Amino acid sequence: MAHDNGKNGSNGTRSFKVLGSRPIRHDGVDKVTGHAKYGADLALPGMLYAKILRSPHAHARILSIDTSKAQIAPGVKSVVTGADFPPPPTGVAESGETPADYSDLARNVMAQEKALYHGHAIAAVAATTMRQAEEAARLISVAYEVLPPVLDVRDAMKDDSPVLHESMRTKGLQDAPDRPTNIAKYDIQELGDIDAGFAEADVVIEREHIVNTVHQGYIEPHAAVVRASEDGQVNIWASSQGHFMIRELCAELLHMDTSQIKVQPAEIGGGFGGKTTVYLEPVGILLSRKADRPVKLVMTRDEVFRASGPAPASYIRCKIGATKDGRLTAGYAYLAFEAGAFAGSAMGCAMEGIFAPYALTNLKIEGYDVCVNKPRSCAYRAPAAPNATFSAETVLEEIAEELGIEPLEIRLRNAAVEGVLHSTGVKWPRIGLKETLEAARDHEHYSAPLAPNQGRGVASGWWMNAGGLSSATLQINEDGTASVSEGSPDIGGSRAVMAMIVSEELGIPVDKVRPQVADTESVGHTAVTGGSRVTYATGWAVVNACRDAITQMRECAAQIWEVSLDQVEWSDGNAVLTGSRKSLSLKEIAEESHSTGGMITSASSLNAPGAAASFATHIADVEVDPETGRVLVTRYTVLQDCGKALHPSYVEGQMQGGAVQGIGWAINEEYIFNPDGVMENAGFLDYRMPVALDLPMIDTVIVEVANPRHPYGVRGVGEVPIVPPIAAIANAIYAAVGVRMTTCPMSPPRVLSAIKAKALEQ
Amino acid sequence: MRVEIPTRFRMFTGGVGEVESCARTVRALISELDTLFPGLGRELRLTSAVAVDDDIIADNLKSAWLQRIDHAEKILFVPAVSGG
Repeated sequence: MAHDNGKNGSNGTRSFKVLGSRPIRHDGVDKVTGHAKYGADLALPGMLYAKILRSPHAHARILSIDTSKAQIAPGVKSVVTGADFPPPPTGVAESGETPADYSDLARNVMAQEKALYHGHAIAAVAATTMRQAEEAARLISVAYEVLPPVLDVRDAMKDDSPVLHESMRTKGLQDAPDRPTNIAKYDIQELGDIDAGFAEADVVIEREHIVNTVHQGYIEPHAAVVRASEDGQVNIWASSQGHFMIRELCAELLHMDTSQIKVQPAEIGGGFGGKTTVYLEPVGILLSRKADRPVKLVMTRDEVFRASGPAPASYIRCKIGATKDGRLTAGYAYLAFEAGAFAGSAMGCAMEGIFAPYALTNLKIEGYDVCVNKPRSCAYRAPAAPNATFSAETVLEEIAEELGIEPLEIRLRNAAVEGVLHSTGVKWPRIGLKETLEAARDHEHYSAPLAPNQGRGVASGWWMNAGGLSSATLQINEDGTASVSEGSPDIGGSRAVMAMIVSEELGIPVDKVRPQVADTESVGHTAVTGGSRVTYATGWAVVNACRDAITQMRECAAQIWEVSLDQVEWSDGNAVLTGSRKSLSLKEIAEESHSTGGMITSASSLNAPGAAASFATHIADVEVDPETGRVLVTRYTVLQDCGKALHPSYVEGQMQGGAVQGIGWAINEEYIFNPDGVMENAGFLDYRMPVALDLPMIDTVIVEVANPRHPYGVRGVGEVPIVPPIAAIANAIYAAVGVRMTTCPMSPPRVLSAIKAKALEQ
Repeated sequence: MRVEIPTRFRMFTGGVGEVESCARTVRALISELDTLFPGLGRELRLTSAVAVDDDIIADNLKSAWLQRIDHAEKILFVPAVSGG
């Protein structure tokens, strides 16, 4: 197993033949012609359909569940409740995006003692038709003791708040009171002396910001088909961001051997972090086991909103101080995040991100992870960083205005660069924030004229990017083509990139390489597709597999020529005998495989060391209608440090997609709950995400600052583009109509209310 | 080598923010810290990655467990890497 220490990295000067070009993706034709197979597309003989009964209450004790009538309803083959689940293992599951307590995970999949949010799974039915399953689910009788819900993070932190978990005590807080609380965790990061830093400042601005719950909005609902055999083997076909994650979590939750479960990855219609855990699969295993039939489980859109994992709401208080020449002297932040029904929001990511772009030597960041009666939060593309950046980047904008310093200039004066300390105490390695700021400053957009009621805002953001476990297997076929199998579900064009890597390394055309995402029995363990890690980590595994295959092919050539290995080099897809004109092409070597010891096959598994951070600067132009408060985005540019962009089209796609999601988050998206904790806009009509007609083309500028750790200089690209938009839009609204928005989304009623309030003040 | 203990873990150390160590591997260091400050090792394993001379060598402690650190001058525990 390769344990790459990252010492053979790139300085960014290498030129490539294939990488950096834009071949058509190998999975493209199937996707645009409707042949791609998604999680809900599979049908098996004898398959049943599942319906999950969900809690009508946001907070309630479950007193009893009577399934007797459902069990004998027409077409019903199995019924499960929480009682059918074995006791969860102790400890923490690490295979998703963030660690999660197994007990919480199990209770989120199906409630045990309490229903903790409206839509919480209570029971499930599998029947011959979907209609029969739905009717049978209605026959399940549940007795609840309804409890008052708590739906706001600040309310949940009060001493007299309703409590979700009687056993919860605040972790990380010295001398935490020994009484039930909704505050699951406290965390703190400190550098220097913030009192001294604020004392030194000529201007200090402190603001509060609220961001409401939003959903990732993936087009494809959660879906799985599960077949449990009499011999204990389980087959799962699922749409997810990690089929190894599904296998591992199902095995743990149901006390099975990992080897008993095979998961086949379906195509995935979006995930963005929301498909990095399990909801349906453990339920499907139990239903299928009881019925001895395959079971299909598909969430409706309504269920996706109510019962999957949205991004957490937050309350943030941010205070920044600066000298009159624009040097930042201190930063303080108080961040409280709604974890939802179970602990584990991405509060820590927000803490790391809030001041990341700046060289701040005095700072204090306090974070609270708080339970409320909402669905358990899940990752959403740079989790929690957009919330934090909204706060810091708008406060910084106020400081810039107060000091009369141009927005990009104040950022450049304080930009984090290599060697500067981050809030965690680690010095930054080579990073590209400054390059994105300079690119923004020099971009034509930044100085383009604006019309009345239009304004321009900028913001910068950061994301960490992950490394982790990845595997790949490479086969050189008899005719000299290649097949590469890897373990990362493809949510952004990564299969094409893997084929390009093989093409580049081996020196064969990219259309002679067939990439596939293999099931859990056909390739080595691979961590989730998330954390912007796939091109970096799985790509690295492919690189290693290629280089091993090249060594094997050199050995074959050496054998054919009857020379030693060190006399054979590899160049442009050919083995070359040193000091001669003799060469053998990859195809010729492959054709001789039978006589040189067998087919050329290589595999690589690695734990890629941490990927390098990426930064982005965004420029947003908006037009605000002062009579309605409607915000129209008229122009938008994303400038992002991507490291080496292996397939520029897909990198640009990530930049555009992330920006669009951030824009929707900024101007319209939020969960609207009634006082009983029921979401009132659980559909795309009323949970309004931007569509193509709502926005201009998102322009992109790829800034390439090579990651010195990676063989090609790759950095993660998928997450950072969602980080700056909320702040950029807020700053643009201020520039347009002079109101500072502090609650997100900045929807028409809120903007109009702010405009009117400002008019009254004047 | 100097081992810096971030503020959030100092409830285990009684406020101690820095210790010296000659540990050979990350595993040995955690064992040493857990002996000195009971409970700290478990908390670090669950929540942290490790930076060796400002290089975050893996996404989490588990991945860095057997890596040699005896050449380092500074060890710092940082939040584990994650994403969406």
